[in-house]
Amino acid sequence: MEERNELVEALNGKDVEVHTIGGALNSRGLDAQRAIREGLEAAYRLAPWKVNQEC
Amino acid sequence: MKNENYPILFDPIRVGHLTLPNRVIMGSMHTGLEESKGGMHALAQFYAERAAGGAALIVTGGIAPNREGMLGPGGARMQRKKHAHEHRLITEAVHGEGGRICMQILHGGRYSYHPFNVAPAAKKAPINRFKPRKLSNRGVLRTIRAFVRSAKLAQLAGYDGVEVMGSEGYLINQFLVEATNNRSDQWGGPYENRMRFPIEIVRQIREACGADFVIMYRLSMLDLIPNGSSWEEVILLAKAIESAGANVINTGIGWHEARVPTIATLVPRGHFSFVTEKLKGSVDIPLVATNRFNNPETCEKALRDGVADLISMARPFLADPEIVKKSETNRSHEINTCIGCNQACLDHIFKRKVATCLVNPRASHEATWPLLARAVNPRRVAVVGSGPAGLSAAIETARLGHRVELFEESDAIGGQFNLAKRIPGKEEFHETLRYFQSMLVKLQVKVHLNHHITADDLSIRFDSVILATGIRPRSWSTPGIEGQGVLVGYTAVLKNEITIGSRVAIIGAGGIGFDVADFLTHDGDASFSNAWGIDQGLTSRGGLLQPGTRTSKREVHLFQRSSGKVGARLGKTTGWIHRKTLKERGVQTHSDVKYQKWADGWLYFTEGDLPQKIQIDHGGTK
Repeated sequence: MEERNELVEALNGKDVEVHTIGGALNSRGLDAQRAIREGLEAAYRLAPWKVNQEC
Repeated sequence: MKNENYPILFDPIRVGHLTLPNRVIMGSMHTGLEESKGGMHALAQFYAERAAGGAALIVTGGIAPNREGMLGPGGARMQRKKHAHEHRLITEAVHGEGGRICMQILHGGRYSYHPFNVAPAAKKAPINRFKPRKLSNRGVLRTIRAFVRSAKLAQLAGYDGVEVMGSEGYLINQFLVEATNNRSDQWGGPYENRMRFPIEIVRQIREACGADFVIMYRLSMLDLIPNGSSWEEVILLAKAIESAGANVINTGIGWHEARVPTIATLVPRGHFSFVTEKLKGSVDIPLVATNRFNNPETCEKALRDGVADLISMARPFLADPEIVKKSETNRSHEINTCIGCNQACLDHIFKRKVATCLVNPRASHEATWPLLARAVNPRRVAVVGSGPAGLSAAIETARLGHRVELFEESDAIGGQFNLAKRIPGKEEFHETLRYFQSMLVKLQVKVHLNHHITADDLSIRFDSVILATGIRPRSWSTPGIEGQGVLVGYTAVLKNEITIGSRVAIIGAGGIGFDVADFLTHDGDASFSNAWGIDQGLTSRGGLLQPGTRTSKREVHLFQRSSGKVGARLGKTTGWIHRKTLKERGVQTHSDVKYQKWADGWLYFTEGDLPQKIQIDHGGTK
């Protein structure tokens, strides 16, 4: 298997924050466990967050 | 007021001095946090979240009563007052959420993976390299006292009770069965002697801890090992354990050394409840059914059918701490369902890593990714690709409060999940897709199917982009095979887009290769019990029968370029199931393979230094 990541290069230099995850980041040893964890990690990496006790 | 959907599941029940608000017990699971630095704080948070999520009663991971009983070097113990003080963090956190919690006392016996292990006899377990020392009579008495001291300390720590681990092949189980107990003293020989050890443990704990302390006993009702307990012995023990002072009996299925799957995905939901059901009526205390319950419907049905009084679920609480609360509040479609894969829980434990969950990586890491977190400055976020990574990113980003749009080129979300769910025994991935679909709707993620988005669009419309565009299968070839119509990709096979012939070579023996082999050869399997030799009539010792034969109409070959055992990298707790299944179906494996050519229907290759050829109709790419 190989990464499907054409958009990474296309977005290079554009004024947008880009995170690549899952198979697009690295196809070697890919499994659902890593994919789902990287999705979670990317979400929390996006922006400053705080714990909202009112939720 | 009765719950409309699950009236029995949410019918309160009395267990000892406790009134439980529902019938769901969170079963014991070792997480590895027990031995981690700062683990008690993390465990407190872990259990508190599950108590808040509605578990009626939580049972901790196994805690050893002494050094000899630890599962591994440095394993968690409840042996001294300092241990009790450390555990206060857990009990206070759970009680603070209105929950109830019992500590499981587990002595590994010959399964303890260290050189100080002990057992009724000096017989090494097939799954351990350390041979145990035979306990002397004084050693047995000392061990019973260790169980009692551990229970007293658990009470001091604030636990509502203890679960005495008497199943899965650990020390107590080892006393019960002749295969592991050949003693001739008061602890061996006739069954009355062999069961003296657990009875004394329960009796003395009751005496030491008083009436207002739950004693749950996990009883091995189906050993699944040769010469295991007979059903008559199971009934005898259950009655004796009740008389000794236990408040509730939990079901144990299969020793760890058993070669029968008991909790893996391929085990049908609630399959082993027939065992608990058979014990109903033999004792007056509540019975707990367990193994492969993962949704409220299966639990409710088992309770309605009178199979048991309570249901224990362990891994489903890793997958979703709120499984009970969601069931109670008409939100069962939002449950992140345990798929029984073992990949991030049990397989992690065997690698001495902290257990978490494939579908919920937050499990055991609640402080790292708090559920109540919200973005300080919400952004416009695009997620490109809706496979497992993209779906996870989309819902977690939306949960944080961002405005999320999800772009998918095909006509359905799910990516590789849509292939995995077609594999026999992996149908639970349908539930994972249902969960993600529900959460996309709930969290108002805007989903664009059949949509190819460009870099320009992304950069103009969004502040952030998460690229989860996945993989493409690697092409494979060998001289002479191109254009012959025999080379096909695995996606076409799993989607039934082509008719596959009767002789197939699968190139690549990783997880996908095994899945494809399973998919192509599962046609001749009997029922689960029949295929694995489980005696549903419970007439044979250990509950084992001769397994049924498995056949396949196809001749399938599984190839890998590397040397070594084919399938060696599959998960520790499930890999053996896949290897055994394929072997019994006649799938032939080849390692250290170099492909040479395809000619006139034959694939030529070397295996090691040996030239080989096989006739094939189709070869699959990786």
